[in-house]
Amino acid sequence: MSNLMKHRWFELRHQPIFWWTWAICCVFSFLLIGMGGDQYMTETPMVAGVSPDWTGLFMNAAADCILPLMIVSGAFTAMLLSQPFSSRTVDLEVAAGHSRAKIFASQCIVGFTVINITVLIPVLLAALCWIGRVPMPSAAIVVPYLIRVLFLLLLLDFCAFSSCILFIVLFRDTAKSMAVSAIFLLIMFWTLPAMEAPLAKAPGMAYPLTPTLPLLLHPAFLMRYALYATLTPSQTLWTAGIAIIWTVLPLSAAYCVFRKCELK
Amino acid sequence: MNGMEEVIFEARNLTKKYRNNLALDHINLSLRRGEVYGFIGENGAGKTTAIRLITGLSFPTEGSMALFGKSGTKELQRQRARIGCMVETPALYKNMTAVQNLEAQRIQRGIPNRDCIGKTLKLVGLSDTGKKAVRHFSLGMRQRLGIAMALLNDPEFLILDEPINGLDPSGIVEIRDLIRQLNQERGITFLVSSHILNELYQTATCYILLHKGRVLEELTQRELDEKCRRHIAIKTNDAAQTTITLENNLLTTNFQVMPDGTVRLYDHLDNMEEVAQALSRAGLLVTGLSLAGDSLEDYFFHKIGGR
Repeated sequence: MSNLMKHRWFELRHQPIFWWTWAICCVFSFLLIGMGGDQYMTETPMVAGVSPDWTGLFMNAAADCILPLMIVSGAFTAMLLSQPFSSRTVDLEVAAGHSRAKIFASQCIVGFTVINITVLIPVLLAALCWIGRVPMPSAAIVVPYLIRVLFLLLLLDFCAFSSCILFIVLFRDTAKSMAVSAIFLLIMFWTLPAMEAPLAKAPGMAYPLTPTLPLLLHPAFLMRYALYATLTPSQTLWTAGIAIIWTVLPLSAAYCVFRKCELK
Repeated sequence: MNGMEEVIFEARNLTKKYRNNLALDHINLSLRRGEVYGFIGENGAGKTTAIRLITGLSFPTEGSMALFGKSGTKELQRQRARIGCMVETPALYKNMTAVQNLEAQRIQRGIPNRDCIGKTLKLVGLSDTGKKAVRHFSLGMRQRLGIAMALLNDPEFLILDEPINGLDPSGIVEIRDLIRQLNQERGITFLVSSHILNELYQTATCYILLHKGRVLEELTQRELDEKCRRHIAIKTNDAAQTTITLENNLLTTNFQVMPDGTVRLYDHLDNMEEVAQALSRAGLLVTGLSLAGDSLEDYFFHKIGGR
């Protein structure tokens, strides 16, 4: 497994798509958050508990940026992970005696890493640019909040992407995997406003007062829900639990397909 | 059993079915260490399917395999670390250089020493490709790099599917010499499939003839030479009459009529005069009469029942 992981890291370092995706996501985040980030402090709050300081800026900025970043990053990560199937380099790993379980696990680890590096790091870096330029709450507030949010977003980003891994092993073709992943993520994120629209909003706020069960099962909503400053421990556990379930289900299906699939 | 007779791959009733197509039909194979096996068959005969089963890219519908005497999913996986392969076209990272491709393979295989990269590139004649990305390589260069990738882990058993595809004549000779050299110096066992049978004849020490998913024959070079036996090639103005004459006057049915009308007589090899006289007496116009032998290609087509 360690050889496979070293190999994946080598592949990733020599993969221009990875660096391009990261650069695109960074540019997008810096344009949106880095240049006009202070507006996020005065905008209609998209999540509960937005305060007029750096944490509030981060909350609104992340809530606004993460979904489009996920579409861009998801599509390119799908392209990245499906290339070994198109170029048949995955055949070399199978023929070298690596088990399919280990190959699949290493691909998932790469997917988890890439999706989070290209989504979370640009948002965080762009928000960090505002430190010192906007009021900063105490570390006792910011640090636990950031740890909790980053933990949940790490899970949720990968949970939203995990279905793309199923498409990758189903199609085993770069163009198809990328296109279907992009469409899937677009549809997933488009259904969010449609599901939120009929629900009552808090006065002057853009988030639903009492999210319904379908919303609380929706990964896109949970990405914003995770940013709530008011999240209780049980809500945090719920969010993490749903993220894990939505990750395990498509990944289990994907592994069942990959375990027995005929490689080109 | 001494080292040279050790069976490194064994297939028992190996079957692969794709929906209604039986790609491999209960084949039995036994490959001995130190041999160069020529895998011969038409397109769709099942050569690549068999190779894909050996390398784990595909799963058998029925039957069993053993690599280096070990069978079972886990053991087969473990033993695959001892083989090298190039299946169909080489699987390469097109945005990387030749060195980077081999480095990726080295890391993946867990080979500790980087020296093997330079040595392998030199062996296949690709040591001067520099920073050129594989996407700019010619078909022949890619083929050589594919072989280098298969060779990197110093395999005991090397499977090459159409290794000379896209190579120029000098490249073909180099790969042929390389296979011979690796077989003789390092004792690597080869399974080489190729459509160019005359080329295979110059490389292989054993042959496996595959047709419509079945093993027609497994034979050594010596056995093949015996079977590609010498014959009298008779060319006359009437092939049908020639066969009647051979049957009635020379009392033999040990002949074969070739598509071009040449009759191959496998008897009376040391008495061509008698044959010529018999044909002449029957009023046939003999335009050619010579001693000849079958090539591997002829033998293969003879076995599968003509072209």
